[in-house]
Amino acid sequence: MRLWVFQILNGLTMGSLLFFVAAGLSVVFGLMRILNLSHGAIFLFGGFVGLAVQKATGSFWLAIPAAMLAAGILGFVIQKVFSTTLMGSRFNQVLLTLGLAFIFNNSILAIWGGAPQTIPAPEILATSVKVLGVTYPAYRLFLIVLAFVSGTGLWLFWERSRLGAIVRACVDDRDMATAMGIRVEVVFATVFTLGAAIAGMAGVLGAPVLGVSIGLDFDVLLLALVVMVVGGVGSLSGAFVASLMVGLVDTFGKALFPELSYFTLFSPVIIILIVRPLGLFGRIPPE
Amino acid sequence: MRREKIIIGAGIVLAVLPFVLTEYWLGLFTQALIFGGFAMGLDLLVGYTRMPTLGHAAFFGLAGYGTALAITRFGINPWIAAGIGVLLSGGVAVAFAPLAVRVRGLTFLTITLAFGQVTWGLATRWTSFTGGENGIPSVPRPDFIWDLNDRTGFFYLTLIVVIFVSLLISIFASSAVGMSFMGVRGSDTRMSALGYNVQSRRATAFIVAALVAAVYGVLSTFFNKFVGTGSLSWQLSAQMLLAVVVGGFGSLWGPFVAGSGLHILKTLLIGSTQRWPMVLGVLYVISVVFLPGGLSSLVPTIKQRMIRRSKGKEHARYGTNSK
Repeated sequence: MRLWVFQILNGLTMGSLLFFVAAGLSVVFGLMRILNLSHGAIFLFGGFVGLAVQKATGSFWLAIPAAMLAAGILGFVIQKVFSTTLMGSRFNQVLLTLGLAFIFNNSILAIWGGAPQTIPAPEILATSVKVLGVTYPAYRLFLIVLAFVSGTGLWLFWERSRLGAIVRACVDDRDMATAMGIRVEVVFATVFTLGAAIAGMAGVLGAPVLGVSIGLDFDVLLLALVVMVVGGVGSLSGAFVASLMVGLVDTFGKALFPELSYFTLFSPVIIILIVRPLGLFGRIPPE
Repeated sequence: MRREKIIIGAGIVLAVLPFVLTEYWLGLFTQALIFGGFAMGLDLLVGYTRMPTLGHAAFFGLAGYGTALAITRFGINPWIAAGIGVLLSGGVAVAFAPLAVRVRGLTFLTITLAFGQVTWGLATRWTSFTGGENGIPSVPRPDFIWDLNDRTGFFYLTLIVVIFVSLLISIFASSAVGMSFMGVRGSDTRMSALGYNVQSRRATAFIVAALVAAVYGVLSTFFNKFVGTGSLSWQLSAQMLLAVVVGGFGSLWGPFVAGSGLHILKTLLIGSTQRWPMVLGVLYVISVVFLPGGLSSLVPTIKQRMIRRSKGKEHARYGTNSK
């Protein structure tokens, strides 16, 4: 029983981190039908910038805005420089962003080296708490709470705020939104930049749990892709539910059948996608 | 028939390589042929039907693992083991293709990527059977009329297989089925209105590309006398996808040249730097932004220019342009 609680909490932690990465990926895709395969590299870039700032200043809380800023700028530059290709055929944007992912991955290796590193959890949270009969690291609980809080916050922004309504309008019908006088390209640039910034934040938040290392970018990208497609592209609530599901399945698979861990995660995914190609909450065909 | 003649001609030209190259370069060219052939097969799926896959290395690696495991774990004759390897990949492709082609675009990309990761994960984690990260070393090469343990001998075997498979691909591509793949790419609504079963066409392209990958996966295992998790990695899939893009969709020869060239470039660069992913990435970006048609699109452009130039000369000679 204790083991189960422990694993459920681990799964929720992983799911929370995934949510931050997948939310940006999914909304950008929903908005502009752009699949950004360099999203994982932006996540890792944020993690390494955060690490550098944390080392220099000793403050975890300073590392987060720094990483968000750096990742946001990177995202902004990507969408500015490559806007024509990004708006072009799906095939080309996949290849372009895959190429960028390789370039970022190798640049990170050149700048920070290949040794896996970690950012220690902030001191206030570097303890353990007793929940449901198990002793669990406070930092991980903080991540879970943060994901639920920011998930709710994002959802309120998405459903209730004016800007959220504009973004949704652009997702649902871009041409009509343009006709109503919404400057879609500005909305797009904002969302792309924000998505990158949130991914960068996730890089720092995830560092005390997952560490920061080369290769993590592609692992996280793959999981985020799975979350996005399973949840349904462009759906925020879908991304949230699917993140927790993927986090839980991944954790339990690794714990119960370590030799088959990839199998236990991806086989259900393949089945879900074949049964429901639009994903659990999706309305947009992800073509 | 023109394409088939070119393939045979190119094969004859390549047959002189052992006389002009050193051992090292001959080995490199053998592998280059293998990866070129892999890319050519992938062109049937990616170029002809425009299904972007990031998981076809799975079929390359599965066949390699199947062969190596059959020989080293069960003591099966290498020739039969090679057949087992190809059948394993082919069987998995036949089971997976009808499911995968039900979805398109991004979902297809994710499913193929996930599928590739499943095979990669099995090979990496199932250490007791697959050898994990260490792979399977000392896979013996089969006996043949000539000695395959000799570099030259293996090169000729590879060359024969490459010519044979390329001919098959070429004939298949210009057959009615092959042509219908292009129709699927153009517009699947139109194709289904014309009475074609679009999904079965896609599945066929998927399976054929998987079988080609499988044949070369076995060859690669025999060449290296080793199979490792790298042969199943999605990085290899990405490299092959790039080969198709750089070479030019649907031209068959373009992806072959690009696949070979990329392998040679990779080997030369990896020897000196850790910058291969960077080069790969830059090539991706350059080819998408500046050369969307790939290498093969350059040939008609150059031809046109030459025609235009020679016409210009004619005009000049007869004075039609001067007035």
